Amino acid sequence: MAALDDTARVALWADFMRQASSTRVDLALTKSQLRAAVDATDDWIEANQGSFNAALPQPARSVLTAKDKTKLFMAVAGKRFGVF
Amino acid sequence: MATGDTLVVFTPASNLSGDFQYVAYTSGDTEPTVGDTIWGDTSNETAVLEYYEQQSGTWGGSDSAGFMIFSNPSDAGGWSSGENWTANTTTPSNDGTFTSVPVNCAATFDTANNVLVLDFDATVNEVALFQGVMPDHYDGGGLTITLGVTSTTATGDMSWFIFLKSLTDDVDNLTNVGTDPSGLKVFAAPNTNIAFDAASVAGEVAYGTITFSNGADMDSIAAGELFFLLLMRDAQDGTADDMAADAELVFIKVAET
Repeated sequence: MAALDDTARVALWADFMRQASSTRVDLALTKSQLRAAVDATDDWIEANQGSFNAALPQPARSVLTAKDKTKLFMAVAGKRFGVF
Repeated sequence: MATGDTLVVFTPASNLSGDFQYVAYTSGDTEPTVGDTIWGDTSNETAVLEYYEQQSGTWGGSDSAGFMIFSNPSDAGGWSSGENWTANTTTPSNDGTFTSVPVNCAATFDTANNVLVLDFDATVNEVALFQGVMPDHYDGGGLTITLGVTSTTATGDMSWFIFLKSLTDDVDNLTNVGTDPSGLKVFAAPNTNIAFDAASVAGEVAYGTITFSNGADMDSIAAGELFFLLLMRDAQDGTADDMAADAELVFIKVAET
């Protein structure tokens, strides 16, 4: 899966700010600092998706689709950090 | 009348739900004029140009780029994404190109701890419209307009624009009659506060001002005259406006300078 293009990153960045405002979360970052974090996160996923896939044991590595693996990653990360 | 006395106070509840739209443009080669009717040459949609700002390039170089604020769209959902636009004619001459679909940009109602506020987005310019009558005791001192704004963050600052429009007795056109909206009275050029700091603690209300000189600077609003105030957060300018959260307007106070 290719990295997000600029339009998608801008949309994600805007949605993240709207969601934080609507849930009354203080980000304590400027727009440009948050945008840099969005870019860095997407870049990190692009650089590390292969090692994540390689870390999955068989048969999950072969059976799960890319979307399934993304959901799995989000579920585990979300549980670890109390997001879900 | 004394200097500093309050003339009019607007709260979020005073806001009129305007049919304003925001869009960025590029490849501009013919400079429009505020009040022009902008026509989309794919969609056949039209709207009145209330404000535009060139942010890079030049009209002569055919690479002007910036943004526009519209009112009175002929069909609010009718624009085509990335279409060419032309001013004051439906004969396509490609004065420029939208970078996306014009989007509705009215600030939205919200509450902050049960207090009614108007939310202005952090990325898309949004506007709120208020109408009032200048009190008869206005004595020609000019205006100092105070905004009270809160937010969920204490980091960064905001950029605010205020546009004023007077409606003189039996002179100015309030509504668009017929199919041509170009006869509408439009707003005068805005005055700004492009370094309006967020409050030092999230949830506090920061007060900041924008001033207008008496006369043309405030569209010559006279005592006893109907006027409109359009407030815009210039959120697309991520340098001047770097606060990564909604700006929540609590009040506007219009006082004599």
